[in-house]
Amino acid sequence: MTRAARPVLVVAEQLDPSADMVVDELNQRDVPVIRFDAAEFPQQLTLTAGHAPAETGWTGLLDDGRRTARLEDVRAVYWRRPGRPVIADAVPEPYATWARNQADCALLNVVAALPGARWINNPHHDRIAAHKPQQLVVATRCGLRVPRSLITNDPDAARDFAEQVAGPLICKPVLGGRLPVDEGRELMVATHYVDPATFDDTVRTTAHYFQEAIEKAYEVRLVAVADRVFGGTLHTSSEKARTDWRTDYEHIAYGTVDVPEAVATGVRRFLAHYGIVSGSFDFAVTPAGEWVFFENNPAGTWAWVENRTGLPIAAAHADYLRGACA
Amino acid sequence: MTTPLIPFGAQAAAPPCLVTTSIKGVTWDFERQLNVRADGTPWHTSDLAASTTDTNQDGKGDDVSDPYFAPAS
Repeated sequence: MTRAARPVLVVAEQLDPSADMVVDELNQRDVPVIRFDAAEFPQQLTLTAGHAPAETGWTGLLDDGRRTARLEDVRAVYWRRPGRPVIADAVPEPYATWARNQADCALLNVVAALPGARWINNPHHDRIAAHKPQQLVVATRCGLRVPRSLITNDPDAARDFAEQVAGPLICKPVLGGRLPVDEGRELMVATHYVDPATFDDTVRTTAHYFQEAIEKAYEVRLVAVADRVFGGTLHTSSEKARTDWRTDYEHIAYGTVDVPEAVATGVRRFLAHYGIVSGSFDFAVTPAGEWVFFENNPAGTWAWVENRTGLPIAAAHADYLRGACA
Repeated sequence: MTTPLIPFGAQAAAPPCLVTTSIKGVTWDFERQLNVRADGTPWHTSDLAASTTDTNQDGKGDDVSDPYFAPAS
């Protein structure tokens, strides 16, 4: 395989429109692609990797039954929330769980160790970059403004914080997660306003994340890819959507905005800090025009931003993966 | 017996707002390695639901089920 034919691995679930968009752009650039879901390993996907005693790097083959990639030729990897390996039904527990963990670890870490391959994003880096408490520290270090925030399990500390803020307060989860309250029924905790008068001993049950509520003219899903930044705006028209736009998609109008250079610079520093190439950042823009960082979703969704605004986000991914930009 | 306590932050839990994109007539194009509609046009060019919580558009919500996403450890 010539260097020009070096493939990009796209590792994602089959019905992921972001992956579809990137593959489409790579196809248009005549960049060979091998796309698979990690869930296809080991039943539909074959991996054979060898390592020499003194030469650095795994060599071998990755074969999906239609296409074969030589590991040493892989140009780049787009790793986007794939499923976990699925083991054959014939393997009983606990061997099936053991086998899945073996498959999971081997596939990810052989691919992650390919020397010289570009990544969007290496999931080892994503894992660290995904956590909100760290993000606030890094964001401010990178010159971005964040909301005044408190993490505590002390209701008195929460009341003191409310007094300091002397304005509306919100509570949001430190970590995303579903609450399977009944069989087949899962709940989600979204960002919500809280009344300090209701702070009680249930605050003590775990860590709680409180912030000053930021007044919003509109919000931005800022998608960064390498040194490029794309601003997708969300103008909300209901109280629910204004509080957390994920809770009311019916009352959002989408658009675009030029990202101020100071914000773009902060975002690039943020990515560099974590060693990641792409992120889906959430910002609020205040009525005074100030951008306030909420969080970054390293493997966040962005297909809908391009789909509704035409911002060339997938093209930026493809340019990076084929090596056409820094 | 201890009285059950629901964490303060979790008292606001509610069903997630999941919006999905139709996959009716959508098939997998093995050559192009992407999803296409019946007329052969890429599925991603149709109107996509603006969900941030449903990467693979199956309506189940997977923002927290990705194995590499966010365990605190």
